[in-house]
Amino acid sequence: MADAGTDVDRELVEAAAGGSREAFDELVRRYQRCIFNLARSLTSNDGDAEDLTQEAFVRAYRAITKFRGDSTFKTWMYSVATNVIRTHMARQKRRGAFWGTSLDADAPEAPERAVSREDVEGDVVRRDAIDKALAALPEELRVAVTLRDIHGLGYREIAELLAIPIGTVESRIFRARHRLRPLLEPLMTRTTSSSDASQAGRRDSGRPLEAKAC
Amino acid sequence: MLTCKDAEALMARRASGALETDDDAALVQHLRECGACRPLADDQALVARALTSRPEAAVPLGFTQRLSDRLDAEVNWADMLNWRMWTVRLAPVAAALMIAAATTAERVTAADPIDLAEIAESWAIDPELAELPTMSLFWQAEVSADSMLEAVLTADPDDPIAEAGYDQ
Ligand SMILES: [Zn+2]
Repeated sequence: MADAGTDVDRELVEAAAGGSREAFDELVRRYQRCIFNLARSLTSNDGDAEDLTQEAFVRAYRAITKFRGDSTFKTWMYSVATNVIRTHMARQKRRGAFWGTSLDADAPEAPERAVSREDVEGDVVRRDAIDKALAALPEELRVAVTLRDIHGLGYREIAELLAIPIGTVESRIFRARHRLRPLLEPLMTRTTSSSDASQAGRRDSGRPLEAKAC
Repeated sequence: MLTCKDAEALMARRASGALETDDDAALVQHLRECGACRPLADDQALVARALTSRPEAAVPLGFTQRLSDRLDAEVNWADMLNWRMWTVRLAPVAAALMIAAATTAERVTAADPIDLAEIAESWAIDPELAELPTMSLFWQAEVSADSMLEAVLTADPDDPIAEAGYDQ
């Protein structure tokens, strides 16, 4: 269902495709925070995150006239950014393999025992702990769970964006969370028990868990 | 009855709050009866909650300006590739080249008329040479390898000095 933000995006995209640089700049302002955080959470590196965010917007700028509106601009922009970031990660992986280093050599150490519960009070430390835990996952699991839980994309959107069946998205997200569970232990706030049959996603607000959307 | 494998997809969706009512009822039923899946379902919800609470990183200072500079460069490249722009800029050059070419052609035509018959004649093969067999181009006084072989094979033992051993 289209919301006000989507309508504004559509107008901005039309204007940008017609040559309005101001309109494209406004799209950048609206999405730069999300795309930067996507790159940051997938690479765990501020420098790479900025470069990749810039590259994603430059690609989007070049291709804006090809955007047909079959999806929302948000999904399209995430798709462009995800491709840029995954290409970068694949290159890093190849480079690691070539030089005989570990595949995730650039990934920081997972925070299983490195971060205590007291440490994660601060936002920066908490964010780093999450990003480091994500870095310990294989790329395909990391991308799927990040798009869902941190960026709030729907299962169908993720399936389209990654060009994989929706069942594969569900499976990847399940496995990603399962592997993250011990890594994120210091960040856990247990408000549920197994007898609640996993209602955590709905309990607090009565609404589904929603990530901070763009 | 839902299998544990089927339940995984529903547990993942439920933790995201993205499960249809019918599926939700089926999953609740499964979790009541399956002690193995209950902790997994809890874990899904806990991890989803932890990730959803990830504090956002601020976009680095100066990011917008740096991106803007890159986009400006893109605009310039787009101009470079724009054929209409080149048409306009190169029009005077093209006009000058056309005038120069026209002037040169006029001068050549007036001063040095080209005689095509003369050129054709210079390329023609000498009629006398054309009459000779192709092998005559390789004519040699010595015995050729073929002729020598033929002479050896056909030689009369009583007349070893056969004429056949020599080419004309
Ligand atoms: Zn089960």
